[in-house]
Amino acid sequence: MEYIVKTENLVFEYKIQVQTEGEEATTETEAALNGVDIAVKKGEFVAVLGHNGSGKSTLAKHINCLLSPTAGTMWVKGISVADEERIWDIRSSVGMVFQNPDNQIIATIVEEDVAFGAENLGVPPAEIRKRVDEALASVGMAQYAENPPHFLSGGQKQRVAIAGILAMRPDIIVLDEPTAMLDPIGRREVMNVVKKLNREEGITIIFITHFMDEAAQAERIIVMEEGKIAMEGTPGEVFAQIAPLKAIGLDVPQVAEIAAGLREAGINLPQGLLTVDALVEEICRLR
Amino acid sequence: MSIKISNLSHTYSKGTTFEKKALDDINITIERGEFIGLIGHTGSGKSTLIQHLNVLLRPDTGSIIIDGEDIHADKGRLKAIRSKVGLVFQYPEHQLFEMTVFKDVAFGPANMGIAEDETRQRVEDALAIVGIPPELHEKSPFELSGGQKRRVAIAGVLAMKPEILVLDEPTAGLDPRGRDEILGRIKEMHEKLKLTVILVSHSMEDIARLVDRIFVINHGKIALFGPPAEIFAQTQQLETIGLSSTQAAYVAKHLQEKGFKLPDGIYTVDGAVTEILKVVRG
Amino acid sequence: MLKITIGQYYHANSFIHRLDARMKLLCTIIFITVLFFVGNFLGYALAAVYLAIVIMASKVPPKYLFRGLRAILFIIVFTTFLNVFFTQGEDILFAIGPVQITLQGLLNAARMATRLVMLIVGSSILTLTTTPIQLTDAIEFSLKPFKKIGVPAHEIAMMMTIALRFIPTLIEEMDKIMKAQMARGADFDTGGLIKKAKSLVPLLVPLFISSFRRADDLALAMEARCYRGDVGRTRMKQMKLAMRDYKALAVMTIFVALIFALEYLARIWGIW
Repeated sequence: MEYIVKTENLVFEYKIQVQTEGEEATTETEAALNGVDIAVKKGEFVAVLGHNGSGKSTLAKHINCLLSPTAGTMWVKGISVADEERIWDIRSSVGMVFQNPDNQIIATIVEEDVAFGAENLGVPPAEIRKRVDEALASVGMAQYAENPPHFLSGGQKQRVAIAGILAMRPDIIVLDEPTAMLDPIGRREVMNVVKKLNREEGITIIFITHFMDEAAQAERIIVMEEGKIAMEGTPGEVFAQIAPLKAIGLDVPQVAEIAAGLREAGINLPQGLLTVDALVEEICRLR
Repeated sequence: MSIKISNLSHTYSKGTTFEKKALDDINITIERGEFIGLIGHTGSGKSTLIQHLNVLLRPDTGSIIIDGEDIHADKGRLKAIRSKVGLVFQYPEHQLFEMTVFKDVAFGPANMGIAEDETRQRVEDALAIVGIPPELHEKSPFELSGGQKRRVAIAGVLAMKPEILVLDEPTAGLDPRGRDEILGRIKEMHEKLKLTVILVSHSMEDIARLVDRIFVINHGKIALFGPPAEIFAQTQQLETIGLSSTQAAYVAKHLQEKGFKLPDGIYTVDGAVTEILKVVRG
Repeated sequence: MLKITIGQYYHANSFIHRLDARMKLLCTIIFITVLFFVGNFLGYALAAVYLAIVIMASKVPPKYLFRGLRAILFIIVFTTFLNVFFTQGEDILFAIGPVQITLQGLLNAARMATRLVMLIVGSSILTLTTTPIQLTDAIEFSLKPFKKIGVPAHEIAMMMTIALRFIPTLIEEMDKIMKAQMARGADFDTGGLIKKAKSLVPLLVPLFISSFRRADDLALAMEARCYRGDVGRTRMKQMKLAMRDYKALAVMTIFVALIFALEYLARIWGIW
């Protein structure tokens, strides 16, 4: 089996200054990642859950070589992230979308911003033009090509950011809480674009989120806690474990909770019910 | 005490090409001690509405009467009204600026001209109710975690002893744990301090858990209003506005459509489980 | 909300808009330089006619253009005042106490004011008809020769782009913080100078902190998108000089020749 992203015992430590009253400041080492093993297949859609400080953003930044591991190894497309000469090969095939839509748009015109990454890669002008137009069309933002970005909604800005990555022709897109600052409409827009890119263009997606309904749409969920993998499996498998999820401070989609409540009361329902339709269908069968 | 908003309209950049009607003839009455949910997507006018409550914006037409007083009538009463109506903005932690948590929370009362002793008491009370322990009071607010920063900022408004607390998406960007913590604290404020609370959110789940009554705002108008059970039952109307109901409400609605005799007004997990059990078990 | 009208891009499709940004930058610099050589009013009249033609060709409504002048009205009035009262001269028109109003003073004031207005209007046309991106590209291009002596042309242009991109964001942010502090009883309007300066602390500290956070985020986002200075970088939009650019240059040359001819004649004939 070929894995596009793979880690082995990945550790990332950083130093913090600890100042206790009346004593001298000392440095302590904290581990943001504490032995993480993941393997993502090409074309997979993986959601990463975990509360703030669980290490999920740190993991994401390793995939793009924005951070380098303290110990352990990570391979992206078979290239070790420790191979400094090939950093740009990795970065050009891994695109990143961040949380704050305002803080990742560089240019004053939408299409100029979309071109930015491809320009950095030294793509010929005519080819950039073609890629920019395709990318904007594919995220549904073609009619805004010549607009200044500050008039766009949060969801639109995130789609522009995704288009900027598409113009670099990546194999993997890592999205670090891209919907955290958006309203329901914006969240839906981003989710739809991401699903489309995964399905139609075969781009591998690593999607970090706090929203369980978004994670439920992935093929696989990785739950992180204290720099380690706490749970892993299909959405059905992960969301069946309601008590452990709640213990680490995460939510469960309401449908899964209703199903669990009914099961607890002795109603015979199968595992892995995550959508309204699936649950309704099963309840209908009980008649 | 009540808040009475009558015929309130507001247009931005009047007379220019950027002219935008943000509020269009809003009429709302809120009773003392109510917990109100205000829902609407970005640009619906909800932020404009709550800024009027704090006299940060002035209406083009219409009025807001709080306790019988037109809040926009007398500029000399500005400070009194702003301390009566506490407004917590979106991402309130972005307004922190002082050297210590304590000083930052004391900023509001100091602006009100409150004496030092009283300010100290207020700051301590406010920080206690948002759950910031005394050992953090002398720390820099910038050393705290995201959720803690936000609670300090909310304490900064509480220290002004408002009777009405308006919060604009207080859980935005937080993880589930941080969200639960904040919502729990807000519920406590409502119950212990007997505050009238207006919670602005686009999270249906948050609203469903807490509020007595909901106003849904769309294109500057009140589109729907009523108790949660009524609002969440109107799945179709919510969807046309670009919002959605809770999953529990959808499950109940779909089952009704399939012929299950479920009562109207189910919108929580517990409600759904109880009622479905009744029907399934006959 | 705060409004900045000077130098904002005005979207239209005119001859001037279509000109290469580098040509516009060059012509603007020549125009401004020429203004400082002209000392006679015939020359100013010619410059005014030239400006009027350019404004018409640019399709920017004059109302929009001159609204920007309001912001610098104070500077014009102030320099006029200084020139009227503090220029020494022989032809004293009248005196109030120790202050003498001289003919030379009035003439100087008129010259200075005319120059200032034309300078602002002239450079406004450049920024009104050129998108910020084109302008920064043009500046980067014109700084390229100085790269050898260590002028970071690309970096300067990138800084300008980012600054332009974040101005609206920061204005919005300032508005938000201001309102949040006003909701906590802050008062930005009343009080003396010291109190006013003090009242800015709750506004500026959060604004700085948020700017640093944004800068941090942006640097990360740029790195993630493979930015490493102008090493191996290409541009989507290539700048190309067209026939119309050479036409514009020809018009500019004729204008300069005329101005200098007039200046020469004026000196011979002794026109002001």
